[in-house]
Amino acid sequence: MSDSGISATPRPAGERAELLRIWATPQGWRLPSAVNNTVIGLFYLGAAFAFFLLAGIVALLMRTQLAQGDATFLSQDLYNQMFTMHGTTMMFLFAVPAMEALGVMLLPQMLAARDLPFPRLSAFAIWAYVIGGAVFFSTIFYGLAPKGGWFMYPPLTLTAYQPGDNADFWLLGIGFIEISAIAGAVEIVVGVLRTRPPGMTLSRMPIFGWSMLIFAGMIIFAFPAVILATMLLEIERAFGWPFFTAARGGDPLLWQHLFWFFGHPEVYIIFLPAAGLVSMMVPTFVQTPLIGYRLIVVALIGTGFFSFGLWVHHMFTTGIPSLSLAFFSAASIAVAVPSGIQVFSWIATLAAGRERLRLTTPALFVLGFLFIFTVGGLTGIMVALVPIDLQVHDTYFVVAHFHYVLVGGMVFPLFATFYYWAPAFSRRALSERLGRWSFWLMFVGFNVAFFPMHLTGLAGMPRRVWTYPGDIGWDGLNLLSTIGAYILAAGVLVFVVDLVRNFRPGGGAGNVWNAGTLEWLPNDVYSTRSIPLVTGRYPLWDQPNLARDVEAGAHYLPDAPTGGRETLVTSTVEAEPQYVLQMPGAGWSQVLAATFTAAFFLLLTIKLVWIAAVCGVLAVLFCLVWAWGLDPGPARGKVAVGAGLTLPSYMTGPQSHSWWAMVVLMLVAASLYIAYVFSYLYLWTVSPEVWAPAGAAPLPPLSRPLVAAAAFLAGLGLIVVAGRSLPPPGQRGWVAPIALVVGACLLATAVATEILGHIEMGLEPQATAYAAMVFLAGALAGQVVAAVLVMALFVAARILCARTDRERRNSFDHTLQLARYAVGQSLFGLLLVHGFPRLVA
Amino acid sequence: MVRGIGFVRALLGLLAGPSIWAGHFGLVYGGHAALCGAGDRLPLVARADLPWLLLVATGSAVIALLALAVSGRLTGWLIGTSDLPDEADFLVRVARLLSALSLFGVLASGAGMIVLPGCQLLR
Ligand code: HEM
Ligand SMILES: [Cu+2]
Repeated sequence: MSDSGISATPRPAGERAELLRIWATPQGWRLPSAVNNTVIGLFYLGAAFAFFLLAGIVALLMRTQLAQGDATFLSQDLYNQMFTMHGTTMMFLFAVPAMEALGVMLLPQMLAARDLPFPRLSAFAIWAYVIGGAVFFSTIFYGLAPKGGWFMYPPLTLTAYQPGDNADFWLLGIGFIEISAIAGAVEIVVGVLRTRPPGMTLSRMPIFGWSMLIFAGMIIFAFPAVILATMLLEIERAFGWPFFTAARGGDPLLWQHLFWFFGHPEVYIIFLPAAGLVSMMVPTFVQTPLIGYRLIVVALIGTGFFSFGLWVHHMFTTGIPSLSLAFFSAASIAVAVPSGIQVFSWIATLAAGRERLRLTTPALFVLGFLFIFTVGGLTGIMVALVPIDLQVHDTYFVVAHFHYVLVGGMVFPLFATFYYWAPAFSRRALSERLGRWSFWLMFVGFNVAFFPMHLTGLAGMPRRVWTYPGDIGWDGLNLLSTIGAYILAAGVLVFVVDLVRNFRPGGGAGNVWNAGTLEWLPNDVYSTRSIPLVTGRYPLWDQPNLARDVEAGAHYLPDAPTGGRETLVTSTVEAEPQYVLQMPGAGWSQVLAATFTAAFFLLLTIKLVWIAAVCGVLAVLFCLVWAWGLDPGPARGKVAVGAGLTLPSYMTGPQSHSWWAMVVLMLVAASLYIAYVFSYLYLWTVSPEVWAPAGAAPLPPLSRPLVAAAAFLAGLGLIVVAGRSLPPPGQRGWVAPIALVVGACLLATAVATEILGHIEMGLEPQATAYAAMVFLAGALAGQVVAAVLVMALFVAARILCARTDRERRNSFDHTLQLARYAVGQSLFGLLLVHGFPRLVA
Repeated sequence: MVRGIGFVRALLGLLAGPSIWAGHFGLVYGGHAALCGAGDRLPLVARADLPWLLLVATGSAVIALLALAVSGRLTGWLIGTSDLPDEADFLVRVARLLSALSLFGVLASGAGMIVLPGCQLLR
């Protein structure tokens, strides 16, 4: 008997070989087709780290230019491109992807899942990011890099002030990399909630799981706002729809609202996973369970919420009424409370086990993080106070503040993570000696570089200046900052040397720190030999024989009962086993889909519209090829998963993991739409005089939207009918596919009815911001309906090929889910566009 | 088979407090901005209604959050029950603490209304 009550009858020989065969990583030139989370996760992390190095080199060049006044090392234009590239790369190509990469690499291991629920989706996200990011970064080499700062404020970024393609690279490049962040979020939400090991209830989940869940939730609600913003700005740049042009009823401040509604949560999106990692490491350092687990969960959720009530603190100087500012100032101070809770929890845990604390390299990096992040938090409270911010806004004080928070709150925990988790992925641990050197150089260098910036800022030095007069007393402090930056870089270099000398991926060095969580179980390409039954928060500490039993195959899923890749799906709260998830293995379709998606966006940037369109079609095509192989159906029936348990190997309806992914996707779509509704109403408060019927073409008669609404409902009705008439298992049918496609076409007709109605009334999107908003509602409806149409054609084809039927029906169900959403959103849009102007007339 | 807590219900119960904070925040910020920007063109309300609108919003949020933070029974009922009592207990405690934290957030933004006039720039 093992300690978890699971009996260890010897497993038949050959099971392990079978697992190894099924989970084998493709070798040689086939490697890019791999989807194993440890393989692509490592690649993801490596790419993110490479972008950190690149953006760091750019920073060093900037610091070199700033070392003394009146320098001419860099031109003004290049400097502008550099700070934009540095900030953008650090935020979008390093910080968020690095955290997603850690989610991909570590989460399944911590949850003892064999892989994330949608392995090819993570691979898609990674390839899209790597290709898109590399091309985006390369623009700095030929003077095509954007130069509007990482937040790209209009009107500076409108064509009038920034002609050329530079800004478009940002808008299309970054806009599309955010899509890959969202794909990662889908993966993480479903992974954390559905692929935990049996017994790992929510209250036993590792804190990193909680923090990644909140991280993903925040991405779902924050990223769509900036995606909408980039859409608006790109549409204005390309077609002249005046969303941000005040003379035609637009407002540049709309960009700031949308950008910062994303941008502030973004910094917590970066920080929360890092905090989660710290909460995993600290207990190991002192061999003591985390003190205040529950409070930390509260803090993570609280931070997630509060961070959405802060965005206007970036706009304190824009002329918003003081009472509004007070709301945001208050929330900005309130958000310090949950961060404080976490800091105190870590300190309490460290204090509780202080006699066992060894100052290893990861521990040093964590202590460094605590110090630097706390300083950044204190200056954060300062700039959250409106009067102080009015004084230091856009000065080096702010540059100092946010580097303290970002480098302290994210880079130091990341380096701690590298040193702490390397032995889980490398046959050799990293060097403690080099690690110490790296830490002290980075810690000292960072403070020498950034502390003086508080003072240069208070002395009045604005941010984003390529040089300054040499005789006004700023030289000394700036020189110090530059020296510090080089010391910091030396620390990073030492780490890189350590990596090259000691990091040997494949296998692991074992549980070198005597940690308590599942990623330290013995594992191989298939993850753990069997999926453990968990009884506490620190299974390796609570269940002393766990490693042995898991390795002996005594727990769940010791073999591959469906003959392919699979993992266990459990219930969300209590983690009760529910079914076996069959998942796809290595393949090329997701790689090609990602490549062509990247090509589509990048070619669009340089206005090669036709080639771009071809690439877009190819991208969709490869997505369909990929999806064709999914939804395996119930053919394999129920399978034994060990420990005397038998589970279904296929699931439909709200219990299935893909249903959840669709729900997440619809939340993303809804967030985007809410951002749109906000924009519509916002522009109305700014310029009511151009809203119909005051300044614009009148609205079409009410019969028009009513016809459109009827068409939407009829289309949805037909799709529902299609669902009722799906053929019996294994057979083909004609009714369902026809109803499905005709239904989707009706939806498209409805969208066309709505848009044509406005065109007939003489409304022109270029004329006013109002008109642009009206057409955008139609375009957003069209976008979702287009997706429904593609899915409908796809599912119709599946039905005709006997791949979708009454029982094997996930593909159909998801189409219906999306159709329902599309109709809901479109009806709301009709109400807004046709109702609101009449309401306020 | 364990009879467990439904996820959607657990989620809504867990996030009741922060959701009230979010609703309150959206209402006072959005309401204030809308009334200042377009108070004379809105149906049903006018700029003069601002103080009591803010007051009612804040008052009701405070009452709701107090109830959620103090009453384990109320929060427990929202979240539902599980065959694993520890699990429900954990969620209820987290939910109550979240309500308390949200209460602090609401009071913090509410405080501004006492000292600052609406719709003015003050600089
Ligand atoms: C590794 C050492 C780093 C150095 C030496 C450094 C240095 C700099 C410098 C010189 C600027 C330009 C200041 C100006 O001209 O206004 C800057 C801006 C910025 N940095 Fe860093 N930085 C570092 C790391 C990071 C990291 C890790 C992040 C984020 C994760 C980051 C995010 C930013 C952002 C967002 C900006 C603002 C860009 C803009 O003004 O648009 N930096 N940094
Ligand atoms: Cu902020």
